[in-house]
Amino acid sequence: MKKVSRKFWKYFFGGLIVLFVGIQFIPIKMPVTSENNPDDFLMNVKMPEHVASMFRESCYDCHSNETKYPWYSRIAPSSWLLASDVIGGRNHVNFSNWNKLSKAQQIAVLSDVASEVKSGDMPFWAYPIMHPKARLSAADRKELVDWAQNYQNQIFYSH
Amino acid sequence: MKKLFLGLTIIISAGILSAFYIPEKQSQNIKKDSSTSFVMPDSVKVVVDQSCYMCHNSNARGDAKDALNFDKLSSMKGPALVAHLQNIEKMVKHSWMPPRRFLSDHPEKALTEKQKQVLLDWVNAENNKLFSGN
Repeated sequence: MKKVSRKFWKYFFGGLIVLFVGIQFIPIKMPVTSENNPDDFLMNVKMPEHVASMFRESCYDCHSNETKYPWYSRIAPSSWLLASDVIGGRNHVNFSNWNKLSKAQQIAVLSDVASEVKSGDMPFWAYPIMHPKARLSAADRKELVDWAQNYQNQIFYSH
Repeated sequence: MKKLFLGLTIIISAGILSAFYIPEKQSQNIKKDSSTSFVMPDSVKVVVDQSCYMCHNSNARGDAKDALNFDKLSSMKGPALVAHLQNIEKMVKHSWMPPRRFLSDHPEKALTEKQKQVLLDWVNAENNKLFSGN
């Protein structure tokens, strides 16, 4: 590689720092959180405690209104990523609205939970890096998937 | 160092390119039969054959068939069928399927508003059947 002059790096990193400071002034609205969700999934569905805690630790930051924002949610550009993850996550599934879903929709959500967790696509790989409690072992995954599959049957055959 | 960059560039571009991979049209002898045993109305079958079946059948390349396979839909029941119908509804409603990059090569396979409604009405009807004390 051609030797790049020291001057280049000086301008390069100087530019990065200016850019970093600059983007802090771009206004951003983080998705609103709420603790009061009467239609919430965990509030309304009975399940083993460990299953419930997996939902809370591994899914709820993006898939409910009860997002717990970490300190770096106040700093761009990580704030941008977080905002888009939470918006996207809630759009797909928002467990805070569970009771507003039809039975068919609830079954579809649980079917997605089972397949996403089984395949390892969810929780999104980067998430447990910053949230160690969200990490699911193979046994955890199996427990969650089995429960989600069973509960689909319960919803379907109890109508 | 140079090699490292080159390697990284190749890996990253391969990743980006693979995201655009769409299985090529396969040999002409596709089994042109998406008929199902829960009888899919002809009006629905025409639309499915036109816009969905090419990727969502047992012999298709690619992984679309893992998410939805019209050859297997008929043998599904209970919650699995409910979930699949819900997903079809969601995809059609939001116009997420057929995928845009697929349509750019096959514009004739786009769903018209009328065809979308045919699919949505069918999903709705099947749903009602499933949930009305089967």
